[in-house]
Amino acid sequence: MLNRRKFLKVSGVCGAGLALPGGAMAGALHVDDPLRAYPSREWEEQYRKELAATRGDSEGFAFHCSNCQGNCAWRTGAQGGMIVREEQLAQYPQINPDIPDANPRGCNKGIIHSQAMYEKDRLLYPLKRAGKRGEGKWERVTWDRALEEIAAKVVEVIQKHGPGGLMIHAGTGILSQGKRAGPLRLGSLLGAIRLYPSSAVGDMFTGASVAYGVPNVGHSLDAWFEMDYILLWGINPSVTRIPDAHYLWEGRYRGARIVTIAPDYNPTSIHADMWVPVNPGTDSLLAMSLVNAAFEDKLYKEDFIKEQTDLPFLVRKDTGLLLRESDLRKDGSGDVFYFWDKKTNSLAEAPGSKGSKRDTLRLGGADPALEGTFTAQTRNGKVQVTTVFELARREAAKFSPEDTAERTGVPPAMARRIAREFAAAKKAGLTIGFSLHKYAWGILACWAQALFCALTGHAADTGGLDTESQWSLGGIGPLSNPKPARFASGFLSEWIAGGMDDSLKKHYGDKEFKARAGLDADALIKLSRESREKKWLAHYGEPKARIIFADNFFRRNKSAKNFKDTVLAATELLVAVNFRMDTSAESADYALPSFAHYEGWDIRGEVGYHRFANLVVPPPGLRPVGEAKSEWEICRLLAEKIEAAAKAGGVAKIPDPEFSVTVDGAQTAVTRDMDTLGADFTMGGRIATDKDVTRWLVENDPAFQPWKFEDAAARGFITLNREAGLTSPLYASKPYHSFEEQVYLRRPYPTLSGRQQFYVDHPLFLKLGAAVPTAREPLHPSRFPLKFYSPHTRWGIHSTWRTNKYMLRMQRGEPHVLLNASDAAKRGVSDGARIRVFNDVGEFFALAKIGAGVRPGSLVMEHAWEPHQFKGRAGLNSVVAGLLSPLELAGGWGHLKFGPEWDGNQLALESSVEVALAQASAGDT
Amino acid sequence: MKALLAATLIAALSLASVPPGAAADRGMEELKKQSAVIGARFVKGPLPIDPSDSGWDGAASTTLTLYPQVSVTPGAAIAPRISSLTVRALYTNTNVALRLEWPDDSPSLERGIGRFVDAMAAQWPAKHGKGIALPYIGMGEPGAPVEIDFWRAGGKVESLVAEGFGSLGPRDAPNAEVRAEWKDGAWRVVIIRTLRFPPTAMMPVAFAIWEGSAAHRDGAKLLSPWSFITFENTAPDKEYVHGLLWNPRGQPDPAKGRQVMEEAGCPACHAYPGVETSNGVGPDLTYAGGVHHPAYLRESIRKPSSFIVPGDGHATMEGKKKVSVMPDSGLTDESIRRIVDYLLTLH
Amino acid sequence: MSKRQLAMVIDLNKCLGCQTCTMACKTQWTNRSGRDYMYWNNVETAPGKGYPKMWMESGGGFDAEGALNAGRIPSLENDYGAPFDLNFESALGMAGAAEQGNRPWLRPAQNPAYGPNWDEDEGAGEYPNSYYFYLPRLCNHCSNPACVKACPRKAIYKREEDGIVLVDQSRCRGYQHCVAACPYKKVFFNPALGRSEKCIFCYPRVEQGTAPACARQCPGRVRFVGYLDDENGPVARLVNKHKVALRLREDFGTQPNVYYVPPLSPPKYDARGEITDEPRIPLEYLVKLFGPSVPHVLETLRTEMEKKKTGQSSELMDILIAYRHEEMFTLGAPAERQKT
Repeated sequence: MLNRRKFLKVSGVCGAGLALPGGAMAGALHVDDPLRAYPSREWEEQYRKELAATRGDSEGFAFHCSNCQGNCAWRTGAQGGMIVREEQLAQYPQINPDIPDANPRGCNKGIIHSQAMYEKDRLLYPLKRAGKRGEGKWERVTWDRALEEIAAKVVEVIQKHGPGGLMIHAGTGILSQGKRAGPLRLGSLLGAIRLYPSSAVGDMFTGASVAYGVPNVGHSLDAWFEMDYILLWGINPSVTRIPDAHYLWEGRYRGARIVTIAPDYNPTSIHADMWVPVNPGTDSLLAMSLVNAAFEDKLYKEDFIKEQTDLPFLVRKDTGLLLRESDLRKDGSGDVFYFWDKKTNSLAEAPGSKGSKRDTLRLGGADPALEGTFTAQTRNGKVQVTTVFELARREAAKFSPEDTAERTGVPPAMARRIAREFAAAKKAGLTIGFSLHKYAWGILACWAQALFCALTGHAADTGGLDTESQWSLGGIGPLSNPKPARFASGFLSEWIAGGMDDSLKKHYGDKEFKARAGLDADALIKLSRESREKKWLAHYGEPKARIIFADNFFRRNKSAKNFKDTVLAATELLVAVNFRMDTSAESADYALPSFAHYEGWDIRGEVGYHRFANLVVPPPGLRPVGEAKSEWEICRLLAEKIEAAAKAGGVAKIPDPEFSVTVDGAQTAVTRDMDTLGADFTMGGRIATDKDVTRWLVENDPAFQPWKFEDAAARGFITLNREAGLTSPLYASKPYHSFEEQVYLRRPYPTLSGRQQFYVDHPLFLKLGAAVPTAREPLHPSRFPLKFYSPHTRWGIHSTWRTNKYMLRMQRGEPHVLLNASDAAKRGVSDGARIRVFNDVGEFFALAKIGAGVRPGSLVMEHAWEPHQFKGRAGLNSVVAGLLSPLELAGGWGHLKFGPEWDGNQLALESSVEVALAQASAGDT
Repeated sequence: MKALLAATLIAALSLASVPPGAAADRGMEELKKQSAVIGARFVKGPLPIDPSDSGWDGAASTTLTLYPQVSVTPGAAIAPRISSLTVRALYTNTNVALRLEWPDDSPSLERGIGRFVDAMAAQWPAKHGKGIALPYIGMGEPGAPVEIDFWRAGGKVESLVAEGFGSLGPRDAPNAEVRAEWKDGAWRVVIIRTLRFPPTAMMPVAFAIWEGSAAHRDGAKLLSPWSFITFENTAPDKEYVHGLLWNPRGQPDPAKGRQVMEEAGCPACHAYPGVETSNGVGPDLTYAGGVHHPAYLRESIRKPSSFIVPGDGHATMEGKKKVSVMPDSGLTDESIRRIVDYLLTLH
Repeated sequence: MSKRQLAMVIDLNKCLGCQTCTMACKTQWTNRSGRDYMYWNNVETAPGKGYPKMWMESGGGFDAEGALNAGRIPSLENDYGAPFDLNFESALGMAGAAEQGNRPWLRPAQNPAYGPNWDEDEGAGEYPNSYYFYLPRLCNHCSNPACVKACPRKAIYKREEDGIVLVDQSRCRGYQHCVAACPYKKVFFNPALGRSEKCIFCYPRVEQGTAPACARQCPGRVRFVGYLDDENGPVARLVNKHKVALRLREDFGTQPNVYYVPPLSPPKYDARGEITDEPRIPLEYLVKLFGPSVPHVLETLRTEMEKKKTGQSSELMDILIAYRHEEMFTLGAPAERQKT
């Protein structure tokens, strides 16, 4: 194992501090007045030497590509081939003198990565399991042997079960274009199963997908600075957007009013103009109350919603379905819709819908009615129709601020005030975090929030809903997806793989659940089957071999113990590729060491918080730790071994007729070319290394132009060009906002209606009474008195850095939960006590911490502690049941079709628990 | 600085009221009454560095009294406990070895945050001889440096030099070695250092002890007055011995001295037994007789600015010169002598 | 007095509590050589026990007459918190075969009793009127430093050219009087080196024209660094012109040169659950920390924010916004510094 101390000593960092500088002072010394002058200052050289030692003798650039969207440029320094320290580059150019620049970016985790990468959990060599799975017994093996054995098994599995027998999955531990390229390319060449990571981790903004056709919408975070009103809802940027949070507080100085909505008084609330303490999980109710206020208090902007939303669309009162062209004419389109034109007092086809021939939202001279009931002549006779606006308003009427106050905990006057102030603001933004969609009704809350923004006319550069902006990085496909992989729903696949129906029944199998959810647990389980049978969501069965890159799935998944047992039982080969021994690698058959963040060439540019794509340029002479390799090299070597194993077994090309590709304009069935896998992987040898990958990305992505690879490598980052914008141009001197093309150029939204969509007549939505935005009570079982939620921590990016000693020393060294003083007192729990957290799903042990800002009736635990940090290795997901949000099981409708824009979420925050003082046992203290 | 030194020299010379050439024996006898004299025994072989070495058995032991250092803050906070130190000495033609022994029930061995260790120091005047006054006991004074061999439990000896409080620095050529052992409720520490054989055939030395368990460090220490090492088979220089003596033939009248002090207003600034003064303007005199050499006391009264004890408010600046806040007393030599007589009783 | 004084202003209304500054300092200076337990820079949740524990009640500083107050030396275990390592070897078993059965979970090798951020986000008040804010702390490089006064060796000094207070590492003998005397408890004893050490205001960086690590690396952009006599610099303007930057516990008498813009806070709720106009951090608490001008400063901030909001200009808000990161630091060119 590396010994950092020893290294530092050798390198002189330590030595400089220990040695009394020679010659600094010989003989007695009289100091007259040390406040005035000091006679002996040669010793000051000591700390100067230390500074030099922490900068090292060679420099590189870096960012940290774990599942953090911060994407910050750093300078790394190395001495003797080892990184000694990193510091923010802080050289991003200011885009506009009236907007603060993006410097220095970075956070507490990034800044200690130089320490973490040499920590004792670092994987140094390929390890092969030498005991039972998870027993912690390992044999060090060579790369050759490990990859040969893995390749042999891969070929065996593919022969026996087809390509779908294999999973090659790149988790959220690596999110950069460079690091992901290897596993994505290999998996796509082989046709392996790949899960949608955002869905698996519960990061899909499904409510936004329903409304806009895309989940990731909003603005670059410098736009906060220009806002007049900022609603931060279920997001804690001071903790989770550390590099960009300054735009909020600088925006406040510029004139923004900032309101936070969260159950706990958190580090963001402390600087807000108002904090709205909301009952966990009731966000859809509060959102509908804002919608209610917007309707009732007539805060809506008619011109905007007539043109930009489907609110004037007509709905058949008999069926509840949207009035379509196919209702009117036999050969009519199902994707053409109507409003009632007040000018002509007749039906008018809405331009811009998916089936419309008019690719614009311009209404011409028409004036769509928002209110009223009309008669439409269908091919089957006259039917009564009304507007989506009418239906949405009627639904919202059920959720007046007065009606929801008791459930949400938010005083009615405050909800009305927020609605009023938001509507009145010139530029008002509503930013939500990833937590909302980890509740069952996040989809509803977000959809209602979108409606609220629509009603108040906030969109593009007047604000609106902000989930998470992302850039368009075109041109990467040929590298990372040369052939179709088996792209499967993240949340559903893991729910099935882990047998989570069991915990769902246990935790939610009662009448209370049925009354709140609209269906019982069995019906929900049945619905999950229906969803995959109807291919609403993609699922390819259980792989026999899993090669997992940087995904801590045994940490992350719910009903954790059952998940792990079930997955392990079904998996013949489990390979974990990671830079450290996380809880998941601990149970693998092979643990393969990959580069940490500073060791290999890399580039990342899709994160829409800011406009800079950062590079990793390893300092010249840097030595990787142990035998770690880049993800690309690992995949390249594995591809070669698989090819060799296939050839040896007489396997050449395996037809995979489920998929086709376009070759020379013609659809061609896909084959999996085992016999040329090695050369195919490297594009015939052109891309052999991580550096080649980075070069290829710089040269081939239009958003990176006109940067040359060498120039980018010399500067450490690239400023993205105009092409990076998805639904707006990325202007050189303005913050980015989604939907300028829609709002100003009247181009349709990527939705069925071509507009912001607030009516979904999918049968499931209709059945569950959610054709228009609505709200539901949270599903926390009241049998257990404390609502358990686990927001993001400032001490890790999920489980990465969670076990770092520098981070743990800033906490209490072990997992802790936060309780309100009154809840703690009731249970005889004091600060620092060891407690048991339990429910009918499982239990775990942690320390108690008492927080004045914790809402009574809730138990808060910052997420992503590694299970191996808990007694019995039972982590916090031991008590989280495997729940599904029924609406997220829909699909096959309009723009709600499975893919990167539509997949559901694993739900993390909807379980209830009780706590009790733990019985002390040997080894606990 | 030089002028100051000269003044001190003259003062020291005039101190001796016994004419040079008087019998050495009587001088030594008198010195033994007034100060501790440590007889060093000559050995041929190597000096024993091991405190348990039987070579020490033949050396005579001298017991010194240690006093709390109270003249200079922060030493003032130290508990006024008095301890004793037993010293044995051996020497060769090139080196001198001392074995110091003092009781300590609980040795403090580990230095840490708010934790201090036992320590010992031997202090030697850099220069001494006929007509040269002893440096101020508290780590010398400007122009009169002392060499210090400092040992801290668990550490090696440090060879240091000082010219007064706060001026401590490393010596160019370290020339001492220490070995220590704690056994049976006592520290025994051997220090061997080069012997620059003094022309006076007698060597002044003073000791300090720090008790870690009492948070001793810095000026918070127990210290001995100047003592004198004599060397077997070598007669000390008579003139030098006589120069060190205080009032060998006069009749001390401490009561008179105390009275003179009261009349002169000394209690306004100085603390000493029976006087409750805590304004800290003047140094605490509680152990003045135990710690200070009489010549120093006398000179301090005669010319208060000749040496100024470091500390708050003891001095003011006159231009660039530091001047004691103690007024020149204007006392007669006789009155000053009486005061010193009294101060020498303060142990 | 030194000829010039470098000072820092920390805007508590922008502080995220993210501890990037703490870690910037740690990797720059204190992750080695016996300094592991030290946090020259820390960020604590106020109100709270702070770091080291109850530092504010640990004595030191000066009394009304200018004499040193007695102070205590904090304990490693209970006041600073000993810097633990984790039991990676036994918990992960990567180096070799792990023991059968009783494999421990990954945890500190020694149970911590305290730490630099022990009461993070705990705060005070009754929900929903809970309150807290973040208080970053470092050596104040005081104009009347208690550590200097307490050092019998005069081994602590203020640099003439920039007023940075340094513990001379070649002359310090580890007496720890400075540790006790500093009322902010920002001098630390290094047990490995046997000397006291503390924040050096990153003078080796400053000499090269680079701001201290905690300031330059702060993603919240809360720290301004510059000379107090540089009238055009943000520091002097915040401290002297707009007078919104206040000293922490000025009553300790050391004349700190780190200043704070005191925190505003969201309004409280009344008994009926309706929002009020009253800020949730009790004013008397802020006055205790930052002195009697807190109400006036908070009012100034509100007034200037309102001006900016209504489209009027506000120099104060423009400074605090800090449009350009590099302009938060006015250190002068190295050559220029040497002239002074």
